[in-house]
Amino acid sequence: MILSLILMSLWAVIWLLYLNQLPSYRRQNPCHLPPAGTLQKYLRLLLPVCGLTMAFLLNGLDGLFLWAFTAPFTGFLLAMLLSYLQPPSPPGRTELAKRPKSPQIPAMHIRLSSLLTSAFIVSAAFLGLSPAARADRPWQDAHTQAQITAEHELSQPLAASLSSLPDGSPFALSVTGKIYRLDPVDGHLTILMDELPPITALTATAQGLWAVTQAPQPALLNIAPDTGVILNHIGFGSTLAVGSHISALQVTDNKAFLVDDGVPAFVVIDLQSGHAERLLEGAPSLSSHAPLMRHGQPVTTAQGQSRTGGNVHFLLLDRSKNWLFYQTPTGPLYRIGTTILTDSSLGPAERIEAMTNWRRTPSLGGMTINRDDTIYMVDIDHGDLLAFGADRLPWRLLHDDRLYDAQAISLLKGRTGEQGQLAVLTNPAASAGGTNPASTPNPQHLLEITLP
Amino acid sequence: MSPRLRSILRLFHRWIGFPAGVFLFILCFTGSLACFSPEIQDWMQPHTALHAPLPSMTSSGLTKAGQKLKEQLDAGTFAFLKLPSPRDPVFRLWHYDGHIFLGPALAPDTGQPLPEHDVPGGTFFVTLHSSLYLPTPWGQIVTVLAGISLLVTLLTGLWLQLRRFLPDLLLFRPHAARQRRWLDLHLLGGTLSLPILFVIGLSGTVLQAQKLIHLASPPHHSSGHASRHQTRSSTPLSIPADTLTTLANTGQKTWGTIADGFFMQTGNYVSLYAPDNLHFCLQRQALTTSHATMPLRSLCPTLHSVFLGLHNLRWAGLATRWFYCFSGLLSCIIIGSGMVLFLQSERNNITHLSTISMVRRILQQSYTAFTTATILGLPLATLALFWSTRLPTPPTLPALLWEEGLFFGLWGLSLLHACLFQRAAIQQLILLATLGVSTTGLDLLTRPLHTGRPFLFSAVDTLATCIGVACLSVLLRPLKKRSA
Repeated sequence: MILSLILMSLWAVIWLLYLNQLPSYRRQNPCHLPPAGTLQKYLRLLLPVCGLTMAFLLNGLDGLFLWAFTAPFTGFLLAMLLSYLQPPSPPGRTELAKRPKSPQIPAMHIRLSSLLTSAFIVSAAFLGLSPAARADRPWQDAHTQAQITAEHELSQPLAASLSSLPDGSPFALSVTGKIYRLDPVDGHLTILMDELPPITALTATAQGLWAVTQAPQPALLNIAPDTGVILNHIGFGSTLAVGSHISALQVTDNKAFLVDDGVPAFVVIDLQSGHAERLLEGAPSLSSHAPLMRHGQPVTTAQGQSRTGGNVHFLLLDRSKNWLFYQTPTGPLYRIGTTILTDSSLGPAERIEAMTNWRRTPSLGGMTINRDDTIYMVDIDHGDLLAFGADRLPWRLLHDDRLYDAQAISLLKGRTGEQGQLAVLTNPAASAGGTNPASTPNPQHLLEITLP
Repeated sequence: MSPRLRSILRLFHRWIGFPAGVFLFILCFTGSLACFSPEIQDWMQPHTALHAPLPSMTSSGLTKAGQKLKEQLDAGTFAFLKLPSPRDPVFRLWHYDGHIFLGPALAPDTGQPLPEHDVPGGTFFVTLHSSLYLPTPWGQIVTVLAGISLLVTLLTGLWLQLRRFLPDLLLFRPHAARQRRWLDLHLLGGTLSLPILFVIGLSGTVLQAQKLIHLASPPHHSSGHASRHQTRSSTPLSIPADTLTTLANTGQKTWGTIADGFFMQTGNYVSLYAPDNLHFCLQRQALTTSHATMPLRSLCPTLHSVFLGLHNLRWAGLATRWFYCFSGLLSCIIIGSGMVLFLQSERNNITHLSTISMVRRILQQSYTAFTTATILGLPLATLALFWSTRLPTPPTLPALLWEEGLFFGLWGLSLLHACLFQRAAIQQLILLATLGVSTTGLDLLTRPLHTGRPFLFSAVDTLATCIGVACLSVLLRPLKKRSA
């Protein structure tokens, strides 16, 4: 539909240019473009070709037909519209006989209006090729599909959280908040350190594991991944509100970014000074506004009410550590610059304006990002594995019924250039309406997916 | 161009265009509606639009629907099972009654029949478009002749307008004299959509001509060839419980989707046919339990399939189908304005005569009557058909017979009315405006308010309202002029 609008705008411009090159005695329609020049002539010839190419690139054969159909439709509408705008004063015979030339407009005026018109035309022509337009394309099957290469039954009930170190070693959180090292070969779970306080969110970086604990005191912990020893401890209790629940975090060299799912907000912690700040509380993009869909059906509570799956739940950091991607389980995906959150000179209005809607997504059961800044998502509505790269091309990598039950996803390999592999945590009880993995007899599974 | 050549071309354009215009208007109008055949079917059977969220097809639903298919086949009805798709979210257990496809709609999740009676539906307009509801081969012959006339009229029109084709491409003068206004409208639409009209007309004519050739010399089949449309297999068909589910899974893996595909008996097997919208060219690939893999085939196996892809546009997305529909409606405007111009020019010829013979007068009246019955009668009958599917049926008549009878009856009455009364066009415009504007009210009153497909109902209602408003604006134009 967006392509049709773009093509109609393009054809409107082409028809206006066509009208503009007619001598005024023949031009029955009001047309307020500057007099036709060489630029307009070339644009008139070039724009249909550009439109055709763009339509084909964006929509294939469908685009070609759309290009052909929008031309007469737009021309017809424009001719009718412009004709009714013209006052009913038919030109006299003397006027016809004179056949005057185009009206004389001051040179400066022409240059300015030519510039404006050209800018409008060029922007309209390239609108269709803009990343935003490409990002709105529907999910398409990738030429080479990903494959599920292994499936392991898990012995422990795990929370919906998976993370892996740059070398691909995965870690998981149990429902009781314990950190487990996950063996991707057989799905065996090994507890990292029994004495750690209960963890609510976990991420793994080159500096080790970073975890958030909310009891007894809210704190950010840096944990050695091999021994489980706490390397650093930063308290941030003052920034939490009643009902807060930290659902995800990402860490750069000197800052930690946390998202509060309970009372939607960002929490930014300076790792050097320990100063914590709560930002963008209640921003609309941090809250869920749609029902969570699983297997084509809305997920409901015991009372039959639709569930949203909670507020902001996923948080990713790109390779350059300049951009944070975040979203609720029902989407859409948003992007914000890390500097926007750390620059103390900016106010809430500027920050809200910088929250960019990056892509509509279906209901998700996990999201992760690789070294090339390709975001992998598990679509629990349709049972698909999706990829959305830096080129903003939306691909469907895999469909498998087991993905309807996905809870979390993490990279296993691929951060260091090897063939990419993903681990997906699934809970068959999720489809059956179960919410607490510990309370259901169906054990969770770990799927190992080899990327194309 | 010499005046002699010009008058010859004009003669051809007018006297081929007007009689063919009657059929071409029908073809373009019904073709536009046929673009949304499944959606029209759902509008006429509002319960098949289901409730939001739309349930998806389940294995148990498919098994149950398969049992119903077997019952129909065992009873001697050559039915097939159309699978749910986003455009039509229910199973359709359809058979062909010689004109249209009809049969019960089944819930996609349970396979149970939905509470709806048979309606002419979207396939009614498809049949009207392809054969004008005439028996074979007359329907095909008339359509081919109309198609050839379209091409001739387009070429003569282009030749006549060649010198002013580019300079007057977007010329429309709404404030000019009446005849000039209609001519501008005719030329504006005609020149802008000339390439599209030519491609649609040519592909449609070729398709119908191919049908006629096949009818004249049927293709030779080797002995033992099983026709897809055989009425009954010699041995009772057996469908094991998991056959349909297995085929559906195989089809899903092979084609990526089976939505809008269908199960049909082929010989002693049940085959799953690929959806028609899978490729540009219609391929009709089929899977059976004995042949569960597809051999590699070229994308467009025959020229016929290319023309089918070009004319039917089943593969196209929603936006393209909408614009295709609009192109059809634009063609109706071109043909309608051409017919009005023909009438006016004939009227002008009479005006200059001192005495008008009775034959001339009757001819003039019949031209007017045919134009009125075509331009106003057909949309009127169509709206009446839409209304009749939502209103109670007379108890003495089967619903389907009543609805089809009402359509053709009202259309015939429109012609009769226009033959007998001078002001028939105004009266039919009033009726058309009333029906068009009140369709939304009827729709809201006669369907469940909560529906899974609100856009479908609002799109049909909006189109009907647009027709009503257009008629109202034509009716109110003289009043406006008088007040000005």
